[in-house]
Amino acid sequence: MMGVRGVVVLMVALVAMFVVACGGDDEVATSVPVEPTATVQVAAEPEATAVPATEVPADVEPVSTVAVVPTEKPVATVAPVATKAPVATVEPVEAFDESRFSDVEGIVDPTNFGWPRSIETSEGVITLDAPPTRIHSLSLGHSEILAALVDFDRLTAVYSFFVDEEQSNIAKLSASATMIGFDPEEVVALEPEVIVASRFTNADTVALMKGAGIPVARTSLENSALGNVPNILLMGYMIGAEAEAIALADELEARMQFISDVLASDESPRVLSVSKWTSAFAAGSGTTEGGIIEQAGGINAAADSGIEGHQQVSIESIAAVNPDVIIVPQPLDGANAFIEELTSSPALAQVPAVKNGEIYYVPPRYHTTLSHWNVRGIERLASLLFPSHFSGVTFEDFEHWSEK
Amino acid sequence: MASEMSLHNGSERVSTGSGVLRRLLLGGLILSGLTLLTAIVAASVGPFTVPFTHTATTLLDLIGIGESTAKPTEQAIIQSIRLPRIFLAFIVGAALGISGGIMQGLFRNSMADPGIIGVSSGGATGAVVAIASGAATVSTFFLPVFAFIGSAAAMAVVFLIASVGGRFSMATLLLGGIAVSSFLGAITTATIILTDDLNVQRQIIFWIAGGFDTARWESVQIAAPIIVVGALITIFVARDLNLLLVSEDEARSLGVRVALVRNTLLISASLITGAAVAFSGIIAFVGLVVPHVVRLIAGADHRVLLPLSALGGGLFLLVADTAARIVLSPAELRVGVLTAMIGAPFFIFLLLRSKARLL
Repeated sequence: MMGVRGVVVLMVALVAMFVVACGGDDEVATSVPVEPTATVQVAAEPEATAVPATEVPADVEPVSTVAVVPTEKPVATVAPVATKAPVATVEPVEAFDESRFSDVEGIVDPTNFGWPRSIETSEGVITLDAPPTRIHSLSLGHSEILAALVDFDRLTAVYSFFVDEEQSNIAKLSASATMIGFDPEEVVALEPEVIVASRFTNADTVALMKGAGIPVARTSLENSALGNVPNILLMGYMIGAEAEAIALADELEARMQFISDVLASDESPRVLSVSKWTSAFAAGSGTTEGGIIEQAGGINAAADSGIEGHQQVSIESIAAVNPDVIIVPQPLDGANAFIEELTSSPALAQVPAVKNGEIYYVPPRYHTTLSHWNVRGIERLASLLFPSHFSGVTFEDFEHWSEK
Repeated sequence: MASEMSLHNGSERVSTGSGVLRRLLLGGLILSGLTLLTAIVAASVGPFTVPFTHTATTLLDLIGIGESTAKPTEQAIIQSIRLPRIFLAFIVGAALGISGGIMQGLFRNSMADPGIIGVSSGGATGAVVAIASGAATVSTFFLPVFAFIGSAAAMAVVFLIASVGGRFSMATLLLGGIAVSSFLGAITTATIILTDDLNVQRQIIFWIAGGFDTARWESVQIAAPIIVVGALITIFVARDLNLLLVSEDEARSLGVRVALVRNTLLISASLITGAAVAFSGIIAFVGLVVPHVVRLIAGADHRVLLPLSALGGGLFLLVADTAARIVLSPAELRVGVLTAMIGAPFFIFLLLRSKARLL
């Protein structure tokens, strides 16, 4: 009898763990590889207006009329109408604007750019004597940011889900890296000079690492693209990649400004982000997907209907939310089946998104991570929602940052 | 195997035929009426607002009275989303209620639930196999089919264990059920932890948590015959179960074919539980709580207890699912979570009451 109830209790606990993980994002918690929120990949074409993204091959980039080469410096201000999205150069910069770090929370002495240097996070102050060459990240989002700032071989190891191309933006880089499981002992054995954890990392895991004498920096990952700029700068400072961090932050800010300028005067469509994992789950307020919708010029229809975080919804709930556009950020197989279910449901026939064919598959790796890659989700969604504004505009991935 | 808690058996209240009939009719009428009322409410409420008159005319239209005034979308929501969910919740609740009553009676243990001999764990393992192997994505019916096969296989294994040596032992059946449940639970947990595919993890976890949000008429059409036939069989031998609870020897002396009755009840209860689990996932505490409540109100005669546990279980789960649909509207709460939140405190109450009696 206890066995049966034990199983039930365990499963309820697992559900609770998962819900918590959904509310956050990428993360290696305790021993279970709980990823942020979603899991999928591939993208809808910016040019597409009413064609389900299922028709879009996963690896096909948006059709561009203007080639964009990552040779430009970040552009501070972008004209509202553009044919080229701003992209930063990846060339190492010798000097950098030290003032960019003056207001970054966590830098103990913003005037000190020599070594040793200290940072303070929720795990206390850590001091590094030299630029760390062996960095271990416990979260996918941090790893994606680190991959943009330093050579990937400075990261000691990756986790299995890092190589999943539907979920990870560093899948190719991770494929040839050392892969470990979720035993803290494996992390300690790598002898990292510093460990990066996120707010979702299990406290026991962090305690074990600290107990082994390894400095741990726990920095937050935010749901908004611009919200991660201080985090990028802090990590850049911590590992001695200040110039790269500034350049990445500049590019991120410029690209967001570009979107913002283009969309300045438009009415906002109500967009519902929903995925189906046996049951359907909508992304409400406080979610990465919701943040992407709002930053792409839409209204998060789930949040607008009172849904907080990731919540289970039914077909009837979707009818009640009545969105103008539905996006499905989950793996392609599941997304196709779910889109088919949505389009064939008589209960949704009068919902604008269904009636007008505005249901799209979007690449989960842009919508469910917590890093600068969210900007790609924003750009592509903005292109979907406002195709006329972005006609002839193409956006670069952030691959150029990790192909150093 | 002796229970720590006393369980009234059929001999404690010697009921006359008319007494049984009176309690059965009265209880049946009350529960049926409440179920009908709840079903109407459940069909009327939800995240999508449908005027009550539209719901009422749609329901009447379905039984051939008048014509629906609802808009097409409203009709679609009532007919293709709410009604199948209402029916499925009711029959699953009925299955769990009656199975719980049988298991508690057979094991003379008020802590017994429908999954006591590994049926629920077997269903979960079957579902895990369907999801992890990708079969669940091929057809929407592979998952419940695998789950049902898992339930039946688990039951068969436990029966084999209990029958080893040619002598069937209820004590071995119980312990075997615990062992098999633990083993299968470990497989399920290991699959969740070890799989590299987070999508698989999510599907397994959400399926196990139980719910009716994917209910369709096809689900009802498959589950209902199994559950109804199984329930009728168990009710048919309910009188023999009463005699069995007095003592097996006494039952034998009164002409009861003990092994046949016991095995019929065990297999029927397990199969209808398996059918319920296959279409709803694991929904905790319905099979534990409902028979207790019915026993407190209507007595321990299984001729009354089993039918009313079926009706009561259906009603309880229908209420719970309706609440799960509207309490966070437009979001939903998983019904398994809600029944556990109600059932767990009741379970603790039983434990405490049992302990108090022993002191």
